[in-house]
Amino acid sequence: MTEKHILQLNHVSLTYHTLRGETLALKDISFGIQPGEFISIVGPSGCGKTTILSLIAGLLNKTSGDIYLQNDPITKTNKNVGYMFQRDELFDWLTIEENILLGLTIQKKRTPENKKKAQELIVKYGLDGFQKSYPRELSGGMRQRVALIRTLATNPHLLLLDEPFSALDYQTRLNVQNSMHAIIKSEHKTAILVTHDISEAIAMSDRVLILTKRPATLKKEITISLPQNLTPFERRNHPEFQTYFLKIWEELQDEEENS
Amino acid sequence: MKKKTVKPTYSLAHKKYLTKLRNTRIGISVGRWGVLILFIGLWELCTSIGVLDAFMYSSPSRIISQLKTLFTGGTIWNHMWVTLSETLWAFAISTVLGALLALLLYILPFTRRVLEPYLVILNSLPKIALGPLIIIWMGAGTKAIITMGILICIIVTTISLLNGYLETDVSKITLLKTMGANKWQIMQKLIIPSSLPNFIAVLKINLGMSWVGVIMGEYMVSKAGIGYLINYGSQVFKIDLVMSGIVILCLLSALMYGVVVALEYYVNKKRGYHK
Repeated sequence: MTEKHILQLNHVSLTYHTLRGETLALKDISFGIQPGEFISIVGPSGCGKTTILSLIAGLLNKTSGDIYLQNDPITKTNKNVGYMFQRDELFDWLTIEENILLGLTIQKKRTPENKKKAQELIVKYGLDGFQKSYPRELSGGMRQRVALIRTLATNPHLLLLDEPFSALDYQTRLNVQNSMHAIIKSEHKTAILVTHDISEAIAMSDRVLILTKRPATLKKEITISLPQNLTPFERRNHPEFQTYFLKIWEELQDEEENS
Repeated sequence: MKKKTVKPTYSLAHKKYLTKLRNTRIGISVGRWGVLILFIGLWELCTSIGVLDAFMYSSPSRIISQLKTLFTGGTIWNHMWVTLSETLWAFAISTVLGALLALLLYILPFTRRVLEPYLVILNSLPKIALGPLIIIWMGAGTKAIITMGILICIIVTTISLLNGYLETDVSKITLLKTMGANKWQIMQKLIIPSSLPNFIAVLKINLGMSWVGVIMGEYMVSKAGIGYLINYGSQVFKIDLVMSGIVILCLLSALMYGVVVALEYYVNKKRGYHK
Protein backbone atom coordinates (compact mmCIF):
# COMPACT_ATOMS: atom_id res chain seq x y z
CA MET A 1 0.00 0.00 0.00
CA THR A 2 2.65 2.47 1.10
CA GLU A 3 4.79 2.14 -2.03
CA LYS A 4 1.80 3.23 -4.09
CA HIS A 5 1.66 6.55 -2.25
CA ILE A 6 3.03 9.60 -4.02
CA LEU A 7 3.27 11.34 -0.66
CA GLN A 8 3.58 9.83 2.77
CA LEU A 9 3.72 11.57 6.15
CA ASN A 10 4.78 9.43 9.14
CA HIS A 11 4.35 10.74 12.69
CA VAL A 12 5.17 14.31 11.69
CA SER A 13 5.38 16.89 14.48
CA LEU A 14 6.37 20.51 14.36
CA THR A 15 7.29 22.87 17.14
CA TYR A 16 8.01 26.49 16.44
CA HIS A 17 9.78 28.98 18.60
CA THR A 18 9.04 32.59 19.36
CA LEU A 19 10.33 34.92 22.04
CA ARG A 20 7.31 34.12 24.16
CA GLY A 21 7.92 30.40 24.12
CA GLU A 22 7.57 27.33 22.00
CA THR A 23 4.36 26.10 20.43
CA LEU A 24 3.55 22.58 19.37
CA ALA A 25 1.73 23.21 16.10
CA LEU A 26 1.44 19.71 14.63
CA LYS A 27 1.46 16.50 16.61
CA ASP A 28 1.97 13.04 15.20
CA ILE A 29 0.37 13.56 11.81
CA SER A 30 0.37 10.56 9.50
CA PHE A 31 -1.35 10.16 6.16
CA GLY A 32 -0.64 9.08 2.63
CA ILE A 33 -1.97 10.15 -0.72
CA GLN A 34 -2.21 8.10 -3.89
CA PRO A 35 -1.37 9.34 -7.37
CA GLY A 36 -4.32 11.13 -8.92
CA GLU A 37 -6.10 11.51 -5.60
CA PHE A 38 -7.59 14.83 -4.53
CA ILE A 39 -7.69 15.34 -0.77
CA SER A 40 -8.81 18.25 1.37
CA ILE A 41 -7.66 19.26 4.81
CA VAL A 42 -10.16 21.06 7.01
CA GLY A 43 -9.90 22.15 10.61
CA PRO A 44 -10.49 24.98 13.05
CA SER A 45 -8.88 28.25 11.94
CA GLY A 46 -5.29 28.64 13.03
CA CYS A 47 -4.86 24.91 13.62
CA GLY A 48 -1.92 24.55 11.25
CA LYS A 49 -3.44 23.49 7.94
CA THR A 50 -1.15 25.76 5.97
CA THR A 51 1.79 24.58 8.07
CA ILE A 52 1.30 21.08 6.70
CA LEU A 53 1.50 22.42 3.15
CA SER A 54 4.64 24.40 4.03
CA LEU A 55 6.26 21.22 5.33
CA ILE A 56 5.37 19.28 2.19
CA ALA A 57 6.63 22.13 0.01
CA GLY A 58 9.91 22.09 1.93
CA LEU A 59 9.50 25.69 3.10
CA LEU A 60 9.60 24.57 6.74
CA ASN A 61 11.45 21.77 8.46
CA LYS A 62 9.61 19.25 10.60
CA THR A 63 10.68 18.72 14.20
CA SER A 64 10.24 14.96 14.07
CA GLY A 65 8.76 12.28 11.82
CA ASP A 66 9.27 11.61 8.12
CA ILE A 67 7.84 13.02 4.92
CA TYR A 68 8.42 11.16 1.68
CA LEU A 69 7.60 12.39 -1.78
CA GLN A 70 7.82 9.52 -4.25
CA ASN A 71 9.92 7.68 -1.66
CA ASP A 72 12.46 10.49 -1.30
CA PRO A 73 12.59 12.36 2.00
CA ILE A 74 11.71 16.05 1.68
CA THR A 75 14.49 18.31 2.90
CA LYS A 76 14.12 21.42 0.76
CA THR A 77 11.82 22.87 -1.88
CA ASN A 78 11.10 20.39 -4.60
CA LYS A 79 10.36 20.87 -8.28
CA ASN A 80 7.80 18.08 -8.18
CA VAL A 81 5.59 20.13 -5.90
CA GLY A 82 3.53 23.06 -7.14
CA TYR A 83 2.08 25.57 -4.70
CA MET A 84 -0.98 27.79 -5.15
CA PHE A 85 -1.84 30.62 -2.81
CA GLN A 86 -4.96 32.41 -1.60
CA ARG A 87 -4.25 35.28 -3.93
CA ASP A 88 -3.05 34.65 -7.47
CA GLU A 89 0.31 36.35 -6.80
CA LEU A 90 0.70 37.25 -10.46
CA PHE A 91 3.50 39.71 -11.18
CA ASP A 92 1.73 42.77 -12.52
CA TRP A 93 4.74 43.94 -14.55
CA LEU A 94 4.81 40.72 -16.57
CA THR A 95 2.44 39.66 -19.33
CA ILE A 96 0.20 36.64 -18.75
CA GLU A 97 2.53 34.57 -20.89
CA GLU A 98 5.61 35.62 -18.92
CA ASN A 99 3.77 34.96 -15.65
CA ILE A 100 2.94 31.46 -16.81
CA LEU A 101 6.54 30.84 -17.85
CA LEU A 102 7.92 32.15 -14.54
CA GLY A 103 8.47 28.72 -12.98
CA LEU A 104 10.15 27.41 -16.12
CA THR A 105 12.40 30.49 -16.19
CA ILE A 106 13.40 30.00 -12.55
CA GLN A 107 14.11 26.33 -13.12
CA LYS A 108 16.01 27.12 -16.33
CA LYS A 109 13.66 24.90 -18.33
CA ARG A 110 12.46 27.46 -20.88
CA THR A 111 12.95 25.04 -23.74
CA PRO A 112 10.89 25.40 -26.93
CA GLU A 113 9.21 22.14 -26.01
CA ASN A 114 8.16 23.32 -22.55
CA LYS A 115 7.04 26.66 -23.93
CA LYS A 116 4.90 24.82 -26.44
CA LYS A 117 3.33 22.78 -23.64
CA ALA A 118 2.58 25.95 -21.69
CA GLN A 119 1.03 27.45 -24.80
CA GLU A 120 -1.14 24.34 -25.14
CA LEU A 121 -2.33 24.76 -21.55
CA ILE A 122 -3.15 28.41 -22.25
CA VAL A 123 -5.26 27.48 -25.26
CA LYS A 124 -6.85 24.44 -23.63
CA TYR A 125 -8.01 26.36 -20.59
CA GLY A 126 -9.50 29.34 -22.32
CA LEU A 127 -6.80 31.97 -22.00
CA ASP A 128 -5.84 32.12 -25.67
CA GLY A 129 -5.62 35.70 -26.87
CA PHE A 130 -4.61 36.95 -23.42
CA GLN A 131 -0.92 35.98 -23.70
CA LYS A 132 0.20 39.57 -24.18
CA SER A 133 -2.28 41.04 -21.70
CA TYR A 134 -1.33 42.13 -18.21
CA PRO A 135 -2.86 40.68 -15.03
CA ARG A 136 -4.75 43.92 -14.27
CA GLU A 137 -6.73 43.44 -17.48
CA LEU A 138 -8.12 40.08 -16.33
CA SER A 139 -10.98 39.22 -13.99
CA GLY A 140 -10.33 37.58 -10.62
CA GLY A 141 -11.44 34.17 -11.85
CA MET A 142 -9.23 34.32 -14.94
CA ARG A 143 -6.27 35.46 -12.86
CA GLN A 144 -6.65 32.45 -10.58
CA ARG A 145 -6.78 30.22 -13.65
CA VAL A 146 -3.54 31.84 -14.87
CA ALA A 147 -2.04 31.07 -11.45
CA LEU A 148 -3.03 27.41 -11.82
CA ILE A 149 -1.54 27.17 -15.32
CA ARG A 150 1.64 28.84 -14.01
CA THR A 151 1.77 26.07 -11.39
CA LEU A 152 1.10 23.35 -13.97
CA ALA A 153 3.65 24.70 -16.47
CA THR A 154 6.58 23.23 -14.54
CA ASN A 155 4.77 19.89 -14.57
CA PRO A 156 4.76 19.10 -10.83
CA HIS A 157 3.33 15.78 -9.67
CA LEU A 158 1.73 17.14 -6.54
CA LEU A 159 -0.30 20.35 -6.24
CA LEU A 160 -0.67 22.12 -2.92
CA LEU A 161 -3.69 24.42 -2.92
CA ASP A 162 -3.79 26.84 -0.02
CA GLU A 163 -7.35 28.21 0.03
CA PRO A 164 -7.06 29.26 -3.62
CA PHE A 165 -10.74 30.23 -3.87
CA SER A 166 -11.11 32.28 -0.73
CA ALA A 167 -10.31 35.63 -2.34
CA LEU A 168 -12.97 35.20 -5.05
CA ASP A 169 -16.59 36.28 -4.86
CA TYR A 170 -19.12 33.46 -4.45
CA GLN A 171 -20.30 33.18 -8.07
CA THR A 172 -16.76 33.24 -9.42
CA ARG A 173 -15.65 30.80 -6.75
CA LEU A 174 -18.13 28.14 -7.89
CA ASN A 175 -17.07 28.59 -11.51
CA VAL A 176 -13.36 28.50 -10.76
CA GLN A 177 -13.85 25.41 -8.59
CA ASN A 178 -15.46 23.67 -11.54
CA SER A 179 -12.76 24.64 -14.00
CA MET A 180 -9.86 23.96 -11.63
CA HIS A 181 -11.28 20.56 -10.73
CA ALA A 182 -11.60 19.73 -14.41
CA ILE A 183 -8.09 20.93 -15.18
CA ILE A 184 -6.50 19.01 -12.29
CA LYS A 185 -8.34 15.82 -13.18
CA SER A 186 -7.59 16.01 -16.90
CA GLU A 187 -3.90 16.66 -16.21
CA HIS A 188 -3.92 13.66 -13.82
CA LYS A 189 -2.46 15.64 -10.96
CA THR A 190 -2.49 14.76 -7.32
CA ALA A 191 -3.73 17.59 -5.13
CA ILE A 192 -4.04 18.62 -1.52
CA LEU A 193 -6.50 21.42 -0.84
CA VAL A 194 -6.48 23.35 2.40
CA THR A 195 -9.76 25.08 3.11
CA HIS A 196 -12.07 26.21 5.89
CA ASP A 197 -15.08 25.74 3.65
CA ILE A 198 -16.70 22.34 4.27
CA SER A 199 -18.82 22.41 1.10
CA GLU A 200 -15.79 23.20 -1.00
CA ALA A 201 -13.88 20.28 0.53
CA ILE A 202 -16.70 17.82 -0.23
CA ALA A 203 -17.35 19.20 -3.70
CA MET A 204 -13.72 19.02 -4.78
CA SER A 205 -12.14 16.01 -3.15
CA ASP A 206 -12.03 12.25 -2.87
CA ARG A 207 -11.10 12.31 0.78
CA VAL A 208 -11.35 14.87 3.57
CA LEU A 209 -8.91 14.98 6.49
CA ILE A 210 -10.20 16.69 9.61
CA LEU A 211 -7.69 18.22 12.00
CA THR A 212 -8.16 19.01 15.66
CA LYS A 213 -7.39 22.42 17.08
CA ARG A 214 -3.82 23.21 18.03
CA PRO A 215 -1.72 21.17 18.54
CA ALA A 216 -3.24 19.71 15.39
CA THR A 217 -3.63 15.97 15.18
CA LEU A 218 -5.49 14.00 12.55
CA LYS A 219 -8.99 13.65 13.99
CA LYS A 220 -10.76 11.81 11.25
CA GLU A 221 -10.57 10.81 7.61
CA ILE A 222 -13.75 10.77 5.56
CA THR A 223 -13.81 9.22 2.10
CA ILE A 224 -16.23 10.99 -0.19
CA SER A 225 -17.81 8.46 -2.49
CA LEU A 226 -19.79 10.70 -4.76
CA PRO A 227 -19.81 9.79 -8.47
CA GLN A 228 -16.47 10.61 -10.12
CA ASN A 229 -17.93 12.07 -13.28
CA LEU A 230 -19.78 14.92 -11.59
CA THR A 231 -18.45 18.47 -11.50
CA PRO A 232 -17.99 20.06 -8.07
CA PHE A 233 -21.13 22.07 -8.67
CA GLU A 234 -23.16 18.97 -9.52
CA ARG A 235 -21.74 17.21 -6.48
CA ARG A 236 -23.12 20.01 -4.33
CA ASN A 237 -26.62 19.02 -5.52
CA HIS A 238 -26.12 15.30 -4.96
CA PRO A 239 -28.48 13.88 -2.30
CA GLU A 240 -25.58 12.49 -0.25
CA PHE A 241 -23.77 15.83 -0.15
CA GLN A 242 -25.73 17.00 2.88
CA THR A 243 -24.93 13.79 4.79
CA TYR A 244 -21.21 14.38 4.33
CA PHE A 245 -21.63 17.99 5.24
CA LEU A 246 -23.32 17.15 8.54
CA LYS A 247 -20.72 14.50 9.35
CA ILE A 248 -17.83 16.93 8.92
CA TRP A 249 -19.75 19.77 10.54
CA GLU A 250 -20.28 17.67 13.65
CA GLU A 251 -16.64 16.74 13.87
CA LEU A 252 -15.60 20.37 13.64
CA GLN A 253 -18.33 21.51 16.00
CA ASP A 254 -17.02 18.98 18.48
CA GLU A 255 -13.64 20.75 18.29
CA GLU A 256 -15.22 24.14 18.87
CA GLU A 257 -17.07 22.94 21.94
CA ASN A 258 -14.01 21.34 23.44
CA SER A 259 -12.18 24.62 23.38
CA MET B 1 -22.01 52.80 -50.47
CA LYS B 2 -19.27 54.40 -48.48
CA LYS B 3 -19.00 53.27 -44.92
CA LYS B 4 -19.61 56.08 -42.51
CA THR B 5 -17.65 56.27 -39.28
CA VAL B 6 -20.30 55.77 -36.69
CA LYS B 7 -20.27 58.47 -34.10
CA PRO B 8 -21.67 57.26 -30.81
CA THR B 9 -24.80 59.15 -29.96
CA TYR B 10 -24.73 60.38 -26.41
CA SER B 11 -27.61 61.55 -24.30
CA LEU B 12 -27.82 65.22 -23.43
CA ALA B 13 -26.79 64.50 -19.87
CA HIS B 14 -23.65 62.71 -21.04
CA LYS B 15 -22.77 65.55 -23.39
CA LYS B 16 -23.14 67.96 -20.50
CA TYR B 17 -20.90 65.75 -18.40
CA LEU B 18 -18.20 65.68 -21.11
CA THR B 19 -18.38 69.44 -21.55
CA LYS B 20 -17.99 69.91 -17.83
CA LEU B 21 -14.90 67.69 -17.78
CA ARG B 22 -13.36 69.58 -20.69
CA ASN B 23 -14.10 72.95 -19.14
CA THR B 24 -12.41 71.91 -15.91
CA ARG B 25 -9.35 70.80 -17.85
CA ILE B 26 -9.16 74.08 -19.73
CA GLY B 27 -9.75 75.99 -16.52
CA ILE B 28 -6.79 74.34 -14.83
CA SER B 29 -4.50 75.16 -17.76
CA VAL B 30 -5.62 78.78 -17.82
CA GLY B 31 -5.21 78.99 -14.05
CA ARG B 32 -1.66 77.64 -14.18
CA TRP B 33 -0.49 80.14 -16.80
CA GLY B 34 -2.51 82.83 -15.09
CA VAL B 35 -0.59 82.44 -11.83
CA LEU B 36 2.73 82.85 -13.65
CA ILE B 37 1.57 85.82 -15.73
CA LEU B 38 0.00 87.49 -12.71
CA PHE B 39 3.15 87.03 -10.64
CA ILE B 40 5.44 88.42 -13.34
CA GLY B 41 3.00 91.23 -14.17
CA LEU B 42 2.58 92.33 -10.55
CA TRP B 43 6.31 92.22 -9.97
CA GLU B 44 6.97 94.35 -13.06
CA LEU B 45 4.19 96.76 -12.13
CA CYS B 46 5.31 97.18 -8.52
CA THR B 47 8.89 97.88 -9.50
CA SER B 48 7.96 100.31 -12.27
CA ILE B 49 5.61 102.44 -10.12
CA GLY B 50 8.07 102.35 -7.23
CA VAL B 51 6.22 100.21 -4.69
CA LEU B 52 9.20 97.86 -4.81
CA ASP B 53 12.76 99.06 -5.24
CA ALA B 54 14.02 97.48 -8.49
CA PHE B 55 17.59 97.70 -7.20
CA MET B 56 16.70 95.50 -4.21
CA TYR B 57 14.12 93.24 -5.80
CA SER B 58 15.10 93.34 -9.47
CA SER B 59 12.28 93.02 -12.00
CA PRO B 60 11.27 90.74 -14.89
CA SER B 61 12.44 93.22 -17.51
CA ARG B 62 15.79 93.75 -15.77
CA ILE B 63 16.22 89.95 -15.49
CA ILE B 64 15.54 89.53 -19.18
CA SER B 65 18.07 92.15 -20.17
CA GLN B 66 20.59 90.63 -17.71
CA LEU B 67 20.00 87.20 -19.26
CA LYS B 68 20.55 88.71 -22.73
CA THR B 69 23.86 90.14 -21.62
CA LEU B 70 24.89 86.84 -20.04
CA PHE B 71 24.07 84.77 -23.09
CA THR B 72 25.65 87.19 -25.58
CA GLY B 73 28.75 87.32 -23.38
CA GLY B 74 29.02 83.53 -23.69
CA THR B 75 30.70 82.69 -20.35
CA ILE B 76 27.28 81.65 -19.01
CA TRP B 77 27.50 78.43 -21.02
CA ASN B 78 30.57 77.47 -19.05
CA HIS B 79 28.88 78.29 -15.72
CA MET B 80 25.87 76.23 -16.72
CA TRP B 81 27.99 73.32 -17.84
CA VAL B 82 30.03 73.36 -14.60
CA THR B 83 26.94 73.22 -12.40
CA LEU B 84 25.12 70.74 -14.59
CA SER B 85 28.05 68.34 -14.75
CA GLU B 86 28.64 68.56 -11.00
CA THR B 87 24.98 67.82 -10.39
CA LEU B 88 24.96 64.89 -12.81
CA TRP B 89 28.04 63.41 -11.17
CA ALA B 90 26.61 63.82 -7.67
CA PHE B 91 23.28 62.39 -8.85
CA ALA B 92 24.80 59.42 -10.65
CA ILE B 93 27.32 58.49 -7.98
CA SER B 94 24.88 58.81 -5.08
CA THR B 95 22.20 56.82 -6.93
CA VAL B 96 24.53 53.98 -7.86
CA LEU B 97 26.25 53.83 -4.47
CA GLY B 98 22.94 54.17 -2.62
CA ALA B 99 21.37 51.38 -4.68
CA LEU B 100 24.33 49.07 -4.03
CA LEU B 101 24.35 49.89 -0.33
CA ALA B 102 20.59 49.26 -0.10
CA LEU B 103 21.02 45.95 -1.90
CA LEU B 104 23.80 44.91 0.45
CA LEU B 105 21.81 45.85 3.53
CA TYR B 106 18.82 43.97 2.14
CA ILE B 107 20.68 40.70 1.70
CA LEU B 108 22.53 41.04 5.01
CA PRO B 109 19.82 41.45 7.67
CA PHE B 110 22.30 41.20 10.54
CA THR B 111 24.47 44.01 9.18
CA ARG B 112 21.30 45.98 8.51
CA ARG B 113 20.28 45.82 12.14
CA VAL B 114 23.78 46.71 13.32
CA LEU B 115 23.94 49.77 11.06
CA GLU B 116 20.34 50.95 11.53
CA PRO B 117 21.01 53.55 14.27
CA TYR B 118 23.93 54.99 12.31
CA LEU B 119 21.78 55.44 9.23
CA VAL B 120 19.13 57.22 11.29
CA ILE B 121 21.68 59.58 12.85
CA LEU B 122 23.41 60.29 9.54
CA ASN B 123 20.05 60.93 7.95
CA SER B 124 19.08 63.54 10.53
CA LEU B 125 22.49 65.23 10.50
CA PRO B 126 22.47 68.47 8.47
CA LYS B 127 25.14 67.49 5.94
CA ILE B 128 26.11 71.12 5.38
CA ALA B 129 27.75 70.94 8.81
CA LEU B 130 30.37 68.69 7.24
CA GLY B 131 31.23 71.40 4.68
CA PRO B 132 34.44 72.65 6.35
CA LEU B 133 35.70 69.10 6.79
CA ILE B 134 34.98 68.25 3.18
CA ILE B 135 36.93 71.28 2.02
CA ILE B 136 39.89 70.30 4.21
CA TRP B 137 39.86 66.70 3.01
CA MET B 138 38.90 67.15 -0.64
CA GLY B 139 40.47 70.53 -1.34
CA ALA B 140 38.58 73.67 -2.32
CA GLY B 141 37.37 72.55 -5.74
CA THR B 142 35.00 70.51 -7.83
CA LYS B 143 35.67 67.36 -5.82
CA ALA B 144 34.41 69.02 -2.64
CA ILE B 145 31.25 70.23 -4.41
CA ILE B 146 30.42 66.80 -5.82
CA THR B 147 31.13 65.20 -2.44
CA MET B 148 28.70 67.62 -0.84
CA GLY B 149 26.04 66.61 -3.37
CA ILE B 150 26.69 62.90 -2.79
CA LEU B 151 26.55 63.23 0.99
CA ILE B 152 23.22 64.99 0.86
CA CYS B 153 21.68 62.33 -1.40
CA ILE B 154 23.17 59.02 -0.47
CA ILE B 155 21.59 58.34 2.92
CA VAL B 156 18.08 59.17 1.75
CA THR B 157 18.63 57.07 -1.38
CA THR B 158 19.81 54.11 0.66
CA ILE B 159 17.00 54.29 3.19
CA SER B 160 14.23 54.79 0.59
CA LEU B 161 15.46 52.02 -1.69
CA LEU B 162 15.96 49.64 1.22
CA ASN B 163 12.41 50.29 2.41
CA GLY B 164 11.21 49.62 -1.11
CA TYR B 165 12.97 46.25 -1.16
CA LEU B 166 11.66 45.38 2.30
CA GLU B 167 8.10 46.10 1.24
CA THR B 168 8.18 43.27 -1.30
CA ASP B 169 5.19 40.98 -0.92
CA VAL B 170 6.27 38.04 1.27
CA SER B 171 3.94 35.56 -0.45
CA LYS B 172 5.52 36.37 -3.81
CA ILE B 173 8.91 35.53 -2.30
CA THR B 174 7.44 32.26 -1.00
CA LEU B 175 6.02 31.56 -4.45
CA LEU B 176 9.45 31.88 -6.04
CA LYS B 177 10.94 29.70 -3.30
CA THR B 178 8.41 26.95 -4.02
CA MET B 179 9.54 27.14 -7.64
CA GLY B 180 13.06 26.52 -6.41
CA ALA B 181 14.45 30.04 -6.89
CA ASN B 182 17.75 30.99 -5.25
CA LYS B 183 18.43 34.32 -3.55
CA TRP B 184 19.82 35.93 -6.66
CA GLN B 185 16.82 34.88 -8.76
CA ILE B 186 14.43 36.27 -6.15
CA MET B 187 16.37 39.54 -6.30
CA GLN B 188 16.43 39.67 -10.07
CA LYS B 189 12.92 38.43 -10.83
CA LEU B 190 10.99 39.99 -7.99
CA ILE B 191 12.65 42.45 -5.61
CA ILE B 192 14.20 44.71 -8.23
CA PRO B 193 11.34 44.81 -10.74
CA SER B 194 8.69 45.20 -8.05
CA SER B 195 10.51 48.16 -6.50
CA LEU B 196 11.13 49.89 -9.84
CA PRO B 197 8.33 52.48 -9.33
CA ASN B 198 9.86 53.24 -5.93
CA PHE B 199 13.27 53.55 -7.59
CA ILE B 200 11.93 56.19 -9.98
CA ALA B 201 10.35 58.08 -7.08
CA VAL B 202 13.76 58.02 -5.40
CA LEU B 203 15.38 59.35 -8.58
CA LYS B 204 13.01 62.31 -8.52
CA ILE B 205 13.84 63.14 -4.90
CA ASN B 206 17.53 62.57 -5.51
CA LEU B 207 17.59 64.95 -8.40
CA GLY B 208 16.29 67.81 -6.27
CA MET B 209 18.70 66.89 -3.49
CA SER B 210 21.74 66.83 -5.76
CA TRP B 211 20.91 70.36 -6.92
CA VAL B 212 20.75 71.44 -3.28
CA GLY B 213 24.10 69.80 -2.50
CA VAL B 214 25.87 71.20 -5.54
CA ILE B 215 24.63 74.76 -5.12
CA MET B 216 25.56 74.67 -1.43
CA GLY B 217 28.97 73.35 -2.41
CA GLU B 218 29.36 76.12 -4.97
CA TYR B 219 28.47 78.74 -2.38
CA MET B 220 31.32 77.40 -0.26
CA VAL B 221 34.21 76.89 -2.63
CA SER B 222 33.57 77.43 -6.33
CA LYS B 223 35.26 79.54 -8.98
CA ALA B 224 32.56 78.87 -11.57
CA GLY B 225 29.00 77.65 -11.84
CA ILE B 226 25.50 79.03 -11.32
CA GLY B 227 25.87 78.85 -7.54
CA TYR B 228 29.09 80.84 -7.85
CA LEU B 229 27.32 83.38 -10.05
CA ILE B 230 24.49 83.83 -7.54
CA ASN B 231 26.91 84.12 -4.65
CA TYR B 232 29.07 86.61 -6.58
CA GLY B 233 25.98 88.62 -7.56
CA SER B 234 24.90 88.97 -3.94
CA GLN B 235 28.39 90.00 -2.82
CA VAL B 236 28.60 92.83 -5.37
CA PHE B 237 24.90 93.56 -4.79
CA LYS B 238 23.81 92.84 -8.34
CA ILE B 239 20.36 91.46 -7.60
CA ASP B 240 19.64 91.15 -11.34
CA LEU B 241 22.48 88.66 -11.59
CA VAL B 242 21.25 86.71 -8.55
CA MET B 243 17.73 86.50 -9.98
CA SER B 244 19.01 85.51 -13.43
CA GLY B 245 21.02 82.70 -11.82
CA ILE B 246 17.89 81.47 -10.05
CA VAL B 247 15.89 81.54 -13.30
CA ILE B 248 18.59 79.54 -15.09
CA LEU B 249 18.62 77.03 -12.21
CA CYS B 250 14.85 76.67 -12.43
CA LEU B 251 15.07 75.90 -16.12
CA LEU B 252 17.98 73.46 -15.76
CA SER B 253 16.38 71.52 -12.93
CA ALA B 254 13.04 71.41 -14.76
CA LEU B 255 14.87 70.04 -17.78
CA MET B 256 16.50 67.26 -15.76
CA TYR B 257 13.22 66.48 -14.02
CA GLY B 258 11.66 66.16 -17.45
CA VAL B 259 14.23 63.51 -18.35
CA VAL B 260 13.26 61.44 -15.29
CA VAL B 261 9.57 61.84 -16.10
CA ALA B 262 10.29 60.63 -19.62
CA LEU B 263 12.12 57.64 -18.16
CA GLU B 264 9.13 56.91 -15.96
CA TYR B 265 6.84 57.08 -18.97
CA TYR B 266 9.10 54.70 -20.88
CA VAL B 267 9.22 52.19 -17.99
CA ASN B 268 5.45 52.28 -17.58
CA LYS B 269 5.01 51.81 -21.30
CA LYS B 270 7.25 48.75 -21.21
CA ARG B 271 5.04 47.40 -18.46
CA GLY B 272 1.95 47.77 -20.59
CA TYR B 273 0.47 51.01 -19.27
CA HIS B 274 -0.50 53.84 -21.66
CA LYS B 275 -1.95 51.30 -24.08
